[in-house]
Amino acid sequence: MNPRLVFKAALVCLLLVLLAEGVLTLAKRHAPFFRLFQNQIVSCEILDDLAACSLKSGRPLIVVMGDSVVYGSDLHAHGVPHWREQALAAGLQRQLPQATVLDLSLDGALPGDYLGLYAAARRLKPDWIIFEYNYRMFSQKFGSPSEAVSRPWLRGLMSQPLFPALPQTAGDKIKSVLRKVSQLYRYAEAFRDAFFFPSREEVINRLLAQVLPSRSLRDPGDREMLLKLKIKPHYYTPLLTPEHAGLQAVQLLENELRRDQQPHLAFFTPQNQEYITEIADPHTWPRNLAILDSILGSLADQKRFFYWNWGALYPADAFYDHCHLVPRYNETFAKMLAGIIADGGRRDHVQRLE
Amino acid sequence: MFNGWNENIRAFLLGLAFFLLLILILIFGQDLSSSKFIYVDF
Repeated sequence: MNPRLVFKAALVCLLLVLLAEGVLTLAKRHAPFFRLFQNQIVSCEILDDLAACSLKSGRPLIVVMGDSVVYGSDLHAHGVPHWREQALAAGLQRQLPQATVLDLSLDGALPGDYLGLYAAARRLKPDWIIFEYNYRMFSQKFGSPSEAVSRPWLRGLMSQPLFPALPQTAGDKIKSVLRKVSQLYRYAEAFRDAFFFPSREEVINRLLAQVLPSRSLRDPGDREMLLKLKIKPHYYTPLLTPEHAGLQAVQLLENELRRDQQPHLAFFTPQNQEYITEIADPHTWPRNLAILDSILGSLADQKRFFYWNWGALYPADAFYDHCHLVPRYNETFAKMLAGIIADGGRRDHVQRLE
Repeated sequence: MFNGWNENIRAFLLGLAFFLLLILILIFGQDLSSSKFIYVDF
């Protein structure tokens, strides 16, 4: 091939990259455009944009962090129309119309992710942050430092590297620099998320349905079986040790929250007790819960920093499965949380439903 | 087939192809083998 042609083509490519960078930099000033992606693209810049919106409005800001229980992907999986509107944070927003509720929940979130999200969100000076904790986060699968963060880009947001002993590969360093300097790179990562929206499982389902239309994973029996296969290792997990990456991340996070005097409410999310007795290890489940309660409880002062274990709050019919709430109970839960937040964290609003 | 084409147009199209390839590599070219890069399907 003619080298002059290749040189010119490379020049054109470079110009197109610069053009794309310029367009994205200009576009990012318009937060509503980016809200299309909901929490798919959480970057410092977008949080800054959101902060500007919230500061302009002068309304109290409540940030919510959690996994699929908060994000509501199971609502989508069960065909709930307008499922994001039925999710917990949207319910909280309906209950607290005078505040701005910023939903930073992520499917499959881990405590390590919260550290990255908090490093970005603390600039917004939220009035409250709500953290949802689930049993999965403390299973053996996520116990090692390399498993502490569910999305590598969150490490790039952190104020200090999580588990500094963890070696950073040359690839990680390049990615982290690219994330800082290139809008195009950040959005390419976000589009990759969008492609797999709302979950990788959903994409696999769609592909499978084309190949095996008669036996796709949409079959309720198959789904149930797969779900149990998937979650059993999370609930059939050894005794928690202080070295567990999730516990360490919780402690680091609490240290940062205290340093910033950041009011927050952490809770262990409601669990379907009937389902749990089928899948959880009967020996380690209660003991691990006690360990979590003692650690998270000791980090809370119940004045500005709250922790509640709501594992046994709701009856079995409140759930789709082991922990995901049906829309009606999402609303009930949101109402309860709103009451507690509006009352400065007081527990009087906790209602146990049998 | 390309004989009649201006070299600049060919360079532009090739550059555009490079650019699109770059975007595709950025989006799909890495970490896809990782079991939990995007959504941990929970």
